[in-house]
Amino acid sequence: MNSVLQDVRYAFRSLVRSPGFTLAAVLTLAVGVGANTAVFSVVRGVLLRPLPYAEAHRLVSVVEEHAQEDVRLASYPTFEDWRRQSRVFDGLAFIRGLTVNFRSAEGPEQLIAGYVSPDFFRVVGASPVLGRRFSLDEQQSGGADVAVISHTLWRRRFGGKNAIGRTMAVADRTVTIVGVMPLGFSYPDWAALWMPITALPVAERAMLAERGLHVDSRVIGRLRAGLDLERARAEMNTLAERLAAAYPAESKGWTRVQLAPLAGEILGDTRSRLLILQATVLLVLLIGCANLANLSLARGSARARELAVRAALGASRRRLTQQLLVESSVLAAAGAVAGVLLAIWAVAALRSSAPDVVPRLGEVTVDWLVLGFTFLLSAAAAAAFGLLPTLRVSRPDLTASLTDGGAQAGVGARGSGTRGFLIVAEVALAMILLVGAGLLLKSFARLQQVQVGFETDRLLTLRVMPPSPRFDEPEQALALYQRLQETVAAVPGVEAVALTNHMPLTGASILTQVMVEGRPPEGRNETAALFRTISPEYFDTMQIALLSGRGLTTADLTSTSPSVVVNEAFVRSFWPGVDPIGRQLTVFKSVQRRADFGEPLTGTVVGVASNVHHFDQETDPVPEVYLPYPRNPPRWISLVVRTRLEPDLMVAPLRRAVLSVDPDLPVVGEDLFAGFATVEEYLAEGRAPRTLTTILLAVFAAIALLLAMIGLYGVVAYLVVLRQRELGLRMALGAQRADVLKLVLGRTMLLCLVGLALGALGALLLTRFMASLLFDVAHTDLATYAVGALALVGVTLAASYIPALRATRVDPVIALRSE
Amino acid sequence: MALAIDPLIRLNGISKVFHTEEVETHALSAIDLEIRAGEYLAISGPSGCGKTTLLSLLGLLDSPSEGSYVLAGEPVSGLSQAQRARVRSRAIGFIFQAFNLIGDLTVYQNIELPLKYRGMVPEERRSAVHGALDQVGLLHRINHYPAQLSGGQQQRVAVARAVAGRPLVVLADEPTGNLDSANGAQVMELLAELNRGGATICIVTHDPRYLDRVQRAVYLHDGRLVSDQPRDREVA
Ligand SMILES: Nc1ncnc2c1ncn2[C@@H]1O[C@H](COP(=O)(O)OP(=O)(O)OP(=O)(O)O)[C@@H](O)[C@H]1O
Ligand SMILES: [Mg+2]
Repeated sequence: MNSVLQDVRYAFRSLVRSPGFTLAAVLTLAVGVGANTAVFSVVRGVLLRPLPYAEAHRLVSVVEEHAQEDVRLASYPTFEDWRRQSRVFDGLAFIRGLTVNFRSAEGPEQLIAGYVSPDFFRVVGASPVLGRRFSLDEQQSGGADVAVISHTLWRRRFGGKNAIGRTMAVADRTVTIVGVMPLGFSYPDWAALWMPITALPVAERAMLAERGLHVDSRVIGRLRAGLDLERARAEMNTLAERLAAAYPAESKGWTRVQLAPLAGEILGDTRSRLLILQATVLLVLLIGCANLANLSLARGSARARELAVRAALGASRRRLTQQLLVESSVLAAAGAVAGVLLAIWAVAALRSSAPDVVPRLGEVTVDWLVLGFTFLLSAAAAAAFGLLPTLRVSRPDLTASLTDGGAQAGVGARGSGTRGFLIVAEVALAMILLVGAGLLLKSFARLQQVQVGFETDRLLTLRVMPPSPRFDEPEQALALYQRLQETVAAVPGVEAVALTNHMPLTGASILTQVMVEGRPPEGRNETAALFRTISPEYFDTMQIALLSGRGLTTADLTSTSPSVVVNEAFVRSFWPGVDPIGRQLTVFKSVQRRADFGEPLTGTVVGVASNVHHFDQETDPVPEVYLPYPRNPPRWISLVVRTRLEPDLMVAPLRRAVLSVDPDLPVVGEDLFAGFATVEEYLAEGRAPRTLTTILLAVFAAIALLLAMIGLYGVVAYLVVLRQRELGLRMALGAQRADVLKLVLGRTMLLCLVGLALGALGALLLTRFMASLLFDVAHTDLATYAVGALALVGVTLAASYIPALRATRVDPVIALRSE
Repeated sequence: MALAIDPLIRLNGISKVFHTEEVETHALSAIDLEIRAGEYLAISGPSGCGKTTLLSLLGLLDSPSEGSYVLAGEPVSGLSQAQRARVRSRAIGFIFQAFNLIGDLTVYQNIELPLKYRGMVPEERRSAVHGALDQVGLLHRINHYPAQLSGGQQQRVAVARAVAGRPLVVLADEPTGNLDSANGAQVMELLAELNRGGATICIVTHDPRYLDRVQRAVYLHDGRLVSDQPRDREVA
């Protein structure tokens, strides 16, 4: 123990004596360890930390599955059947999501409420941090109107002050806040507050009883303790078969039930993104370690004499090894401390710059587990770069260093094998990272090039939610929509205004079954299309091209024989090779809270519009049917505004215009859709996870490339020093400078090529795991590999050119002067 | 290969000064020396007197601070580095005290190296290497690595490397310094044999026994040539 202390003191002294080495080592470690710590703390907070629900592993989200691999959300009656008849759950809860108007002192805003079945909080295993759950009474029809709000809403609307007992207007009633959920609790992730399902607006509550109603909702179950997922699935499937037989009209073919662990639903593809990032930063650290190994090898050789003297004075081999290890540990500790500071900063930066991109990011901190990981990682790094020179020093021929050039067979670089290995390793690791980052960058570029099918520039949209019950009647809603359109059109700076039920890229959509003339209905998947209702100005405002026929006209809004427009994808699926103009099709009305829901609506095709990516850039266009919106007045509507001026300048006047029509219309809120937002913002939001992953990976790849360049320079420079005598000899024997240059560069490039081959192989193996993150690029994409290889050849050449040049200045006289 | 130019080497007023950290070392001062083709010359003198320095100037590894050097009728004291390397590869053969074979090249590759630098075609190189190795009696070791050879064998390979290209002059700096006396004698015998075959040889040696074998011995003292004597060396 005493000797370790002594070694620590000695290590400090010797590190202070070579500040360049110390600084380089600590900086390299800080970057490597810091990046790993930061990413791991996100992995820890997002993937490893249990969800904030009691025994979260028992929670599953439950949806219906069709025999043909399709899924749908369960209707409330089906949920009730499951709850009563299945034995696999300790509890099962239903959550109906509804965008509602919420009024407070600052005016109305839109948010999504989760109307929950009685058992909800017990099923998810979570309780409010402030206040309480709903009482039994409150969950009965006619009970007091109460709500539990999310931590975020609490902080935003009540400044984190006591909110319990305060009231607010939500949808059609005034509710009292009885609880505030803990930070990090967000199930379903869209819910800003929770209310008993009995508090649903009357019409919605009536609709719930319909077995055919599949709307925004979730079913969450808590599996019985000890029951495994497969058994539960099997039992639920049996139940589903029974229900399908009992209710053929609504459930024919829906003979299976999908049970998915809740973590999967909450995290989405975050898991693969994070694991890829963690692998990336580990590779960066490895490159750093290779650099340090070379630095300490160089230092080791320079100090061989000193160590030999110590050995001669009686220090045992173990003692010398210990001393070197202590030294690398001191370095690693310094690097770890700097790395942790860096990580704390990085995590804070990530949390503030991308709060919504990574789920559960709010729960991420650098905690003890993370510090433990950092400690282990640094220890491993210390061992990795500390051990290499140790092995050399503790070799038995130590004394050779004392007797000055003991008879040695042949000149040449001793230990050049190790250094060759370092070059290969650095190039290979950097190649893997470059290919990974390159594939993501290419995906990103490809995605950027995807034309969404309409002009996104200077296009603003607002989802208008008329307050209930004033606009419950279709005529009232229609009148409001018309007035809105007229008023907004009159705002200076507005070029065009249109109405639509679901604005592309905003996530809203509904499917309708389709029957077409001249084709009998087939499998249900092939007969569905997006049900779109629009005003006549829609195609012009959006700048969607009409491929044949015409668009909708004002006359179509009121004509008795409805005209419809279909898109290209529709024609390809339903009428391949046929001119659709003048043909008839039947769709089914979609507004669910009204009695006419599901009623057939037959129309004549008057035009074909070009395709639009309705969901996002990554999802191919699907068949769509556009109808005049008064045919099926939607409960809420989206305004589409093309402006002449910069959209930023237009938001305030547009808000004023909407409020001038009706002051109760919400024009602000937490999410994009709740206020006026540009379509570009929706696009950016959709791409945000990919953007973040791509930026991070590119940054890490750049760091890796820089580290590799520094490392290669160091290795080659030191190799030249080691081979000085051989190079001098070659010059004495007649080698020209060009010969020497070729020799040094040639050998380095050969090692580089070996590294590239190994790296390409590694990349082939590893990038398979990122297949889900790639868009329109194969993980074997030759061009990406070629660019990566070229970049590394360039870097290797650049890094070894200066040392190679130095090699040509070796004085050939050295050959005569034996050491 | 002795050319019919006489003398093969002419040094006039050569001096060499090393400047290190404000200290000037006059390693050589006003050296005049002529070496004829086919001569076998020994340079000796106390340690630090400038023997190696003189040899490095003769071998064009370095250039003199002052004086002129004419090699085979060509003035070479003012040549550039690249030009010196070219002359070196064609005209000079080196033998070193520390053998200086390259560890990761085979015997064949070591001997071939200077021929490659000279730009000789592969066919010629092959026969030259074989001829030289045969001369030193190590043809059977052609594919060995230096580490697989004894010190004496390594030095004989080094001799083969020095003479394979038939240089104008072979320069050797204490070629027996790292060898025991038996091996040393063998190497010296080899050099004498080469000389009898017509090679011009210039060696640095301390050993008085070997001085008997040379035609001519020059002594250096403090960087000055103090004695230049023909030796009676009629060996049977
Ligand atoms: N590169 C150099 N820089 C400075 N001084 C040098 C250099 N090379 C040689 N000298 C000095 O020049 C002088 C002659 O050195 P040289 O090596 O020629 O002696 P030497 O006769 O070969 O000695 P030895 O018998 O010990 O090999 C010495 O004083 C040496 O210190
Ligand atoms: Mg000497």
